[in-house]
Amino acid sequence: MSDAIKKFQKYNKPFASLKLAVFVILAMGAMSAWGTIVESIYQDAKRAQETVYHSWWSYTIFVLLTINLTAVIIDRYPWKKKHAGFISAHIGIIILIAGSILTRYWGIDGSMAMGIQETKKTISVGETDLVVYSGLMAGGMKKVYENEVKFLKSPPSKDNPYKISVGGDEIVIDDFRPYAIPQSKILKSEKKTDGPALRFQIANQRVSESDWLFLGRDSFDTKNMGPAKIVLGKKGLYKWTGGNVLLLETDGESEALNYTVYTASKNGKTSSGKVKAGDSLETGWMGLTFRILKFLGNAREEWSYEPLESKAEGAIQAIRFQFNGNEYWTGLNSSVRLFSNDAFHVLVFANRQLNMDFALKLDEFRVGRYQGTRRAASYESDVSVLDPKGQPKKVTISMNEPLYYNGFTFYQSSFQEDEMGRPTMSILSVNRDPGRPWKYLGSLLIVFGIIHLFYFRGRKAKS
Amino acid sequence: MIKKSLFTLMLFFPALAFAGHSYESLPIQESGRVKPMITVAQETLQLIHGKSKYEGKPALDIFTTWLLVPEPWMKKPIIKIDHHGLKKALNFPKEKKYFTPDEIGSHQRLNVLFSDLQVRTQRKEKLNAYYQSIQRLESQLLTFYGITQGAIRVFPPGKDEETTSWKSLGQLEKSESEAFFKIMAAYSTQFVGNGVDKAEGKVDLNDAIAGFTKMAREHGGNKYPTADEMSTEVQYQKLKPFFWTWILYFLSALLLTFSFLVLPKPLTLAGALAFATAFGLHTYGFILRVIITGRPPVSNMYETVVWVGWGVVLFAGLFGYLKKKKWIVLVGSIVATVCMIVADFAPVILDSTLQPLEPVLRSNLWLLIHVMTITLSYAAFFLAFGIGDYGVFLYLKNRAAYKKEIRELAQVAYNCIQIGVVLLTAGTILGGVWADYSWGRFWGWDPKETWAFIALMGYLAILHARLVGWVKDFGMLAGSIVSFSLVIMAWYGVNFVLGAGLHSYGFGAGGIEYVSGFVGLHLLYVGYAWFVEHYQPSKA
Repeated sequence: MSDAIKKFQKYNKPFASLKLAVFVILAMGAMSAWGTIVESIYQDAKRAQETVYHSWWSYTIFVLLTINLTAVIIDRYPWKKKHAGFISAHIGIIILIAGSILTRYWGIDGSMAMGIQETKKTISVGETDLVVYSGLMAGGMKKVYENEVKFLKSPPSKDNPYKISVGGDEIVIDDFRPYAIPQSKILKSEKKTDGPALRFQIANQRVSESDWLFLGRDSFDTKNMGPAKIVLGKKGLYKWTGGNVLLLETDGESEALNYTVYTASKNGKTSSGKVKAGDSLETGWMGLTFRILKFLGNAREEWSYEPLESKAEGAIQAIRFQFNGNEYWTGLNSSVRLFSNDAFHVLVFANRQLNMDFALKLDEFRVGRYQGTRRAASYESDVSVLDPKGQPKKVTISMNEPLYYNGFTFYQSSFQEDEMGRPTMSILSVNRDPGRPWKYLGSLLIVFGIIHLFYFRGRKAKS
Repeated sequence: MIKKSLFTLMLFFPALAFAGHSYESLPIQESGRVKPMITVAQETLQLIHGKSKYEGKPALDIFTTWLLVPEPWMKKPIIKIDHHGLKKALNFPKEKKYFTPDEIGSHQRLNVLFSDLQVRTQRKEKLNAYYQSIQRLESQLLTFYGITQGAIRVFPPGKDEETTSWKSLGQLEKSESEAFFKIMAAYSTQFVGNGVDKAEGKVDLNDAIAGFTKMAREHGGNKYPTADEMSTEVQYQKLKPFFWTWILYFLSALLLTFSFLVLPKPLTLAGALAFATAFGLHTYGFILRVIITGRPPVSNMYETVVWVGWGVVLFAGLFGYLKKKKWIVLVGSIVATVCMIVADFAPVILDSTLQPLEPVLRSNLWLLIHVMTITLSYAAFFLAFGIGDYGVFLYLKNRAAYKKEIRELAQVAYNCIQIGVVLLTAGTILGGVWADYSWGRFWGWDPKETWAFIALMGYLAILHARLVGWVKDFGMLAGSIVSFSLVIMAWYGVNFVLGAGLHSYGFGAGGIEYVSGFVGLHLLYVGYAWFVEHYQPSKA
């Protein structure tokens, strides 16, 4: 062995120390334990990842580990046959870490939620971005700002606001709610351009439900009430295509609405007339009576975000910001239109969407249930792969039977259903992992190494 | 004993079995599968009353009278409530355990509690012990009223019908319903009391069963299982293999303990025999569960406790045989007794019911291998823990006099930890392979996996510290005990304390006070021994 190596090994010695190894092992255990506690408190895996597992201090531990492992392998040089297990196990860990880095920085881990018959070519990933589009009133829109934000890790506040300058205007984000339930309220609006809204009740002897229909700037608003649909629309725009439908039409002026009842079993219109707030009418469907409780000629929708302590179903991230003297709240994956004196901006706070160079279409979705129950036993999606470069391909994605295509893997992850238990959406998780082969190689080396190590040590102990 | 072996014979030679159904084997559809009557009766009584018997009467008899004459039961204290907070919310006295369906069902506050719970379940929030107890009460009431109102599903759908739903008593045609209640009446004449009129309808039970099952079979064809198809589960329920298993392990532990004092040869032989018989029965019970559910039984807490107990015995037997040391077998039988008693006495918490699998766990080879490997490593660590306990005891007794034994114990504990580390490493990695295969994520810091990883770090720290000389014989024994706390956290704590993550299908609640007491006492025990080692001179 050359002197240079020997000399190097002398300096290498402290890094190869077993005491350092014990410290690193205990630190990794403690770090991981803390992560699981954070996850349990907030019921939020992403938060644990951002604030613990991918924090600078846990990266420091992994760097120390890598140094320690490398040093100990160098320390044993020149390697002999008896070192095989030892080196294999320790090099395996380094390879596993390398694979994880590849995954972390070059991998994709996202999801796709698809309605039945929907075609989609974007993947939604965990990273959140703030994007601003601006334009003059007359001209088109242009993306003027885009940046990744990690508000779970460093939330904006009054003292530490997140500022975006666009043109001469400034958007100041100064509050953040990690878990908020969005709630909308319909209020009377002073603006003549805002459309109407109405609150209705539909009831018979057994059931009674009430809800809002809100036109806003759209042409229709529809509420599905189980066996029937209630539609509020601008005059003459809605065309009946089947099913039980109660259509309410507004001319934008009068308080009285034209109504038309379409009944599926009669194959068309069964009654019509005028109706206003306080009136009720018989629908003819299972004894259901329809009543208008309240009517607003001009209405606006106001969103509020009720904060929760920890993550729950339906809770999303929400931010508060100041713009041009006004205060706004908005939730994740929605956009806000902002007007200043001479410009017009759209602020988007959303999960990053990645484009694939092919699309998937969900043709059909099936759920198998355990006999006599609504518990799902299995579920699967029939999808078509629509690739401009290739032939369309039909495949079925089911639990444990993913689709591999163009380096992506699509897994059946879950689904959503309506109150009647009919599936409405299939949720696929989508993934591309360049670190996969390295992780498998590292794993194999580790397991082989440990077995060899103990076996060898056992034989040495006997002899 | 003769009866038992007959049953065994019947399992392997179905031709010997009686062709027709018995009362116990009548098929009922419940919770997504078809179960024999005896299972439904036992699971129901267990859920509602927390025991497998009511006032000494078997579940099957109680269940039958609920169906036949529900009224008197409305005034009997059969519903068990444990949670003090829930009793307080209902203004019930704290020291009372059982309450009548009437006093709960008509309680004013009940709807408030249930809607509180509903808000939380809709948001999929984590439920604390209080809300879990409300959830439990809700299912107790629903189950009980369901039974008394004829919601149990006893009649199969027609041969060519598409639905898989069976018809409940309330939906039966008149002739079908009459045929079913003929069975009930005939069966109930066999026992007296609980408000059943003995004189009513003197029909032969077998005739009644034959009549009804013929109807069901003609209507549903193969959808109505035969007595043969039900026999394995009936046998499992009647044999109670895991109950007898712990009795035998306990017997083996006693015999081996006394063999150190008197009659060493015969007692050792008898102890080993009890140990081997218990292991055989343990394995047999396991095989029955596999046949019944059609999957390896490692998918909930109860099943893993039984499996770990099996693993402990396997390793103890192996090491005891290889090293020719009786005390290893003794420690193994004590640890196995603990496992099986926990499994047998905590069915409310551990849920011993035979359940269909969650979709993510279905038909997956990797799951099977991954969970079995990890839990088998727990078994090795559990044995090391038992050895650690014994070793520390000898240490406190007289460390100089037992120096040789302590060394021996530390060596076996070390070997157990080695096996455990190999299995846990392999199992954790296989978990990654499974996650990659099912979700496309090799490692996602899921809490269950992460705690398995933390436990691994605990044992790796010991193995490395041993090389530096920080850990010697006492350290190895003490470390076996302390590190096992991490295994308990991974095994039990993640599901019952943390309650987060992708492994949510295995969650439950309860027993935290006992488990933390168990862990806490052991830490104190080790702490005391460590104090003695450092600050008191050896006796010799």
